[in-house]
Amino acid sequence: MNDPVLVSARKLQKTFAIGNLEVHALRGIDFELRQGEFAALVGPSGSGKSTLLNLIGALDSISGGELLVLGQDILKLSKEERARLRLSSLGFVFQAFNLVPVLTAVENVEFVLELQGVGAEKRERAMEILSELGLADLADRRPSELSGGQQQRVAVARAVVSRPRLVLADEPTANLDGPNAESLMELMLNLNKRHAMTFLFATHDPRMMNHAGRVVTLTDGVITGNLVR
Amino acid sequence: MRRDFTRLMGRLSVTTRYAVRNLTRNYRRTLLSVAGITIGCSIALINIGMTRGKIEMFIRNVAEGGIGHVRVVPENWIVSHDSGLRLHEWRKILGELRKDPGVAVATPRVRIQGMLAMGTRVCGVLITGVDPLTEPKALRYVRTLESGRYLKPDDSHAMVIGKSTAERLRMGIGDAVVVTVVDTTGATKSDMFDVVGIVNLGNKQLDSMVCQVTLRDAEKLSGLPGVGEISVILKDPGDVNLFRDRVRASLSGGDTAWTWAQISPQSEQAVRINYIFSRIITVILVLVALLGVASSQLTAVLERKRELAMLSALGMGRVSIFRLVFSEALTLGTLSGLATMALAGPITYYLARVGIRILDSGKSLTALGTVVDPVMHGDFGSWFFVYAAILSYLATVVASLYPAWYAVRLDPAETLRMS
Repeated sequence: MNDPVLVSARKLQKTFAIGNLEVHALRGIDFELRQGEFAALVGPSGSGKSTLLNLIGALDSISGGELLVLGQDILKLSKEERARLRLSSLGFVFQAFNLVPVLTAVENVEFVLELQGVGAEKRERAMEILSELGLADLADRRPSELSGGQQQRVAVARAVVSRPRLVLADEPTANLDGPNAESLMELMLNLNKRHAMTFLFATHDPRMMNHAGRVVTLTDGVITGNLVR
Repeated sequence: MRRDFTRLMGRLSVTTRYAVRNLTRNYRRTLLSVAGITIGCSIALINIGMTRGKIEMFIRNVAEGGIGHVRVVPENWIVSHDSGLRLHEWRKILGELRKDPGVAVATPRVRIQGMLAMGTRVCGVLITGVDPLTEPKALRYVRTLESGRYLKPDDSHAMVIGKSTAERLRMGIGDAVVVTVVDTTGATKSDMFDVVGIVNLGNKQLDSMVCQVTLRDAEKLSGLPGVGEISVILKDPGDVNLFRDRVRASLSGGDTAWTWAQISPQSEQAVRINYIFSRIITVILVLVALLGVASSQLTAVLERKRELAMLSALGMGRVSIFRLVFSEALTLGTLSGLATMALAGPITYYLARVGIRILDSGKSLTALGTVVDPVMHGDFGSWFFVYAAILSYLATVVASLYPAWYAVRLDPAETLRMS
């Protein structure tokens, strides 16, 4: 375990205020994620999986403790700096695919490269990753013309096209049937192995857990299990 | 055509393609937004065209009603309005003005207070000595006569008068009238003139102001050589201040030049009030269109909250999100601008060429001492296209500011969690 640490959380807390009520989503967790890991966050609904992913993804601000992502203290970053961190080094895969409906598959992938300031070669790079994921023939289709499985593969292509150091996936197989979920897992695992890309995903799906090299269990905002295979 | 459009879209950035295609998500909303801006901007443009035309007509009427766009006069004339003042080297000034390519016509005048008498009937008039060749080009009232003819350069003791004066004195064409003036020595001086033409402006007040003789006769009557003013009509009245300054710089011997606005401040004020009202109407119309579009754009943003939050999660910064919503507004502005030109263009052009009849034929109306044209024309020119583009873009861009601000302030985690 000499790989560099990508994520380091110490006494990490997150509290949401709902009216006058305070909901403690994370209650001071300690967590580390190293480069090249393929880790699953598991636990029942409301256990804090998505909250932890959002904090690591620099989408949300922490309520207490410390969180370093790729060496950067999330607490000290401004909104713009967090956006830059997400754009340059993090990839996201969402449960509901969240592709832009008016853009084609290749344009959805290209869009991230354009935001990063990639010039003329962005189309070539987008096609390259789509080909790698077996989607080259579907490049010019819009999301509405793709199946759920195909949409999620495009979403993965979008997440990894800029070769981020860390890919965060929130229930990526929740909307997929068995074969599609299995196929997506194999695809992510391939990317993890071939490009040494680090994956951290939240899941309920036992089939996904089986592929994970590490399974972190969250219950009521605290880590209650850390199984390394 | 579809292939050309696809090829064109392929050349645009993904952000621009995204912005353009966003407008196709809900055709009805896009069409309503475009219609709102188009109708608002079209009415505003038609109003601007009519106001410009009305003001242009008014200024022309003021200028060609005797004042001129610019008037060259002796220095103290603006204070004293003394008709006994004379220009220095008026022939040289007149020659130079007539050589100026910006001048449509320059005409000299002499004004004398006098009295006309016919039998036992008498009336006071302001007699104007004119150059018969150029005066009708500068004074619209003497272009058409009810009876008789206009003055000729070699006329002697000939007079053109207004119908109301003719009626008061019960005179007709060919009648002789006694003209009495007070000369420079203070003594009264009389002479006989033949009425050769009668002008009917349909307005007694304006009619009574017309009493013209040749310059030579006026000089003899007053006993003062030279002319009291040179009235200038410009080809482009928009250059009036520049022209006045140029003329002033070339004048010597205490003569100066004044614009119609300086000579008739009440006319200038009327023009300004017209412009202010027109601008207020334009602002109200654009504002109404703008609020409609802002509401529609905000709805479009609210419907895409999750998508915008996702883009933010992918690392799309505030500036990029703002640019995206703004690009949509610019596309909407372009469509609206083209639609505005298509709708308001022919109407404004028609109103400029054909105009609106505001008075029945034979009827007359005066405003601020000028006769109002029976047909009011609008204005149409290159300004129309510039204004159409500015108004459409302004309406859509301002309307998109709040939706864009709302979009950049979305909290991605909160929005994704809630949706």
